[in-house]
Amino acid sequence: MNPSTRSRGLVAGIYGGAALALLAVLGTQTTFPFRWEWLVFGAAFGVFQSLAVEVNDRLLASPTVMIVMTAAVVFGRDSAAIGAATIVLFGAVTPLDIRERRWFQPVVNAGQLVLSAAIAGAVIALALPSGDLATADIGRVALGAGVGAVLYSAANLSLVTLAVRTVFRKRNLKPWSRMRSLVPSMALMGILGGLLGTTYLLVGPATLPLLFAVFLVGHLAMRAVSQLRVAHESTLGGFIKALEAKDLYTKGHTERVAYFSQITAEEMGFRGDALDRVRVAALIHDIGKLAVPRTLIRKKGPLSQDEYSLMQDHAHLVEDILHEVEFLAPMVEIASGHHSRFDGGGYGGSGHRRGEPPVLESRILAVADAFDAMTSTRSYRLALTQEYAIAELRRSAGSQFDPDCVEAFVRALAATGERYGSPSLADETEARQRAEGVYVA
Amino acid sequence: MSTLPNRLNRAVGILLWAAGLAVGVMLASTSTRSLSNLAAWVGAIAIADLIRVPSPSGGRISLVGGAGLVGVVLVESIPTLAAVFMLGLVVSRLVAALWSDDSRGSDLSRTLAGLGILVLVEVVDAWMLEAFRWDGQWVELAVILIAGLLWFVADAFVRMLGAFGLGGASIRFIWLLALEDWPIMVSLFASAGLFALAQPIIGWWAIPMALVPYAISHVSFTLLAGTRRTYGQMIRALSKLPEVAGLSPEGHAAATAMLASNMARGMGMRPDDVTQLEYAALLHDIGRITVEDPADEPDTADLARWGAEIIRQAPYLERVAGFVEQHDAPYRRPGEADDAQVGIEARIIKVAGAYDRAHRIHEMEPVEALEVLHRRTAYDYDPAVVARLRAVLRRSGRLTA
Repeated sequence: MNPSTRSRGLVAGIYGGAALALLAVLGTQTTFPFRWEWLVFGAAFGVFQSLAVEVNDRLLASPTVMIVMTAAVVFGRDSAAIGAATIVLFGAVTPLDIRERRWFQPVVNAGQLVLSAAIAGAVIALALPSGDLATADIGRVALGAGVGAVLYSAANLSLVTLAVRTVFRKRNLKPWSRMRSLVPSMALMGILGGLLGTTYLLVGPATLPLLFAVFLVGHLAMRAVSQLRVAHESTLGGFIKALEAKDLYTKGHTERVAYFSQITAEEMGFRGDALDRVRVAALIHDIGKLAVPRTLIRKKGPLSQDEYSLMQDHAHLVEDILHEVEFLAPMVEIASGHHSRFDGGGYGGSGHRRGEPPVLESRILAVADAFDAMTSTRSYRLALTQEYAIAELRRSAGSQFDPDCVEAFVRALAATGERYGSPSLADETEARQRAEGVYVA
Repeated sequence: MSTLPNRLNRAVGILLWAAGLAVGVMLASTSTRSLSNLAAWVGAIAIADLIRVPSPSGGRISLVGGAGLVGVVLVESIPTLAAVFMLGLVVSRLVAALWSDDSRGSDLSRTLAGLGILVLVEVVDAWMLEAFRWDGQWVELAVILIAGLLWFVADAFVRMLGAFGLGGASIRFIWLLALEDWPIMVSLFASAGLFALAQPIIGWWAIPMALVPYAISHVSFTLLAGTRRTYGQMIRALSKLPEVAGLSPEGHAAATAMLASNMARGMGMRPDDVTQLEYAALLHDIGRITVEDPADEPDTADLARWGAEIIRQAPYLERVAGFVEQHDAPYRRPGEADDAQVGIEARIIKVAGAYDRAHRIHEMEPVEALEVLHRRTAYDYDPAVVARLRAVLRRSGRLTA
């Protein structure tokens, strides 16, 4: 039995067991809500859970947390906890789990959902009055639902992270930085859920179809947004990959620079949209080259002054074109600063500020670009070793490169344990000779 | 520069709005409601009319329908409802004029149609209550659903009438385009219904309860419209790569796309298909980027295949890649009536691209270029598509004959 299977069994056993024990206690101590609403809320939870989308923006939480809070209020004081803890079971198994016959994900999911929802339901039970609900109670219930939703999300996020860290050994997952930004939207969804629950109790079930209609439509639009955003990046990336494929020496360069930039930026604390910006900027940093006649790019040896300025002109033209794409405008600026030096020298388009260092993102990109250029084989020389490349980066830190970015990159690269460039020293000597030969010429 | 018909239009418009104001005031004076209550309704309707949400069809939709629906449920008297609705629109129009923002404030025909629907629903509602003693939440829910549906259909219909004959788009296309806005209508009317049902019972809590869900979908729609727009911009930018590299005449991609989408709109294609066609027309020459030397003139079939290969790397452009791959193929081969494998999109791109190439590179007059296409309708260019191109050129004034 390999360790991964063992840790999976352990995590699934603990999560599933804890959930079962909790359900058993709730089942004996409280009343199960035997009513048709239980089915409706369960089905709704399942539907929204299966439509869930991963988004970076704060506002865009999935409405599932709201459904749990609404249901808990509707079930009433005695049944809130067990009701909430059982409707979430509708969302534990995804179609993908069934198709791929997975057992681990559904069990862990069911476990963490039951535990989180039970906590939320218990908070609602505390906020609800013991008798019939009155208009005067709305404020208190809504507040309780807000608190319950935040606890639900916190429990949910930490249980999932714990499971993933244990099983997949991903130590660099940092859930709490994400949690902080999610708190306001979770609280809002919870308060809304509480309000909707009280409305349902006071007004009647005719509110339900309207409610689900609004949320379904909003959620579908949000899903379309996040799919389109992925489409943006993959369209751009796909084009660049296809165009690169025509040019053997730079093949994969863009993707690697995007990857190096991303891990460096993450190491320096970039998250969410800011992180995406760095990655997309790296994707387009060399797009200007795509429009340059191939004969120039493949040319062996140094370029003449005319050829050099032709190459730069083209880079500017492409920059002008991409500037028209609203969402790319900040990335184009970052990308166009990647040949600027930390001490203010170098060249570049709108991102180059003479005499001043370019923006932080450009400095990250410059390090990533230089590292990949050194560790991959070019038309004029072989690849250098990783050690040589890092030493070279450190040597130019403070003049060409931002020292902080260099160190962040070295740390991030060490954390991944990956290696780039030529493996042996013999190659390096040869490569260095070649490199120096070209620089002298 | 206001020409005479323009001034006339303005004068008629002002007269109509003045009439609306007069009728509104007259009707309001018969209402039993307090002045402050009426003012609150007028304000709510004006504000709703000034807020616009970007719609999937590319326009902007005012929220006045939602406010009107709340009125149908909560304002019992028809004259009062009509009064607050008309006064609300007059106020919103005035505010828009003060902001000199013509995109805000509803246009008259659409809102009058809407008012008609509201009154109709109100009448039916009152009649059901009188004749059958039908009342209660489920009846209110039915009224909300029916009113929303009628409003949506009437609005789409009025838009179709208004856009008829403009820009050469077919009726079918405009109607389908108007129907694309259903998600906005659903969330607007459902939130309004929620508010109308709950407000009498839970009081002002109904405001956050109904507004927040709507606000979330409002933000979603705004983001969606923005993301769609920038996606189009990106395709447009990528389409210029061969032109910047000097491998394709400048402006060719954009001009081909413009012609192709105009042709498709005139043929009544679905709006979504028109967008895909537009992307394909923009990217139909992207294969040229692989050409090593601008002096080379490679086989056009190879170019189409290379282009499709590049586009296929983007997972969301599979259909677009298919159109580009096919666009070089003849629409029929010797001995066949028609090659069903070659879709209408590919035929349109082939015709539009060839026309623009003849016009742009060989500097032919529109008539000349069109004649070249006509002469090759045996295999290369579908005669029906060439006829459509002729119609588009004539409408845009480039072809006088």
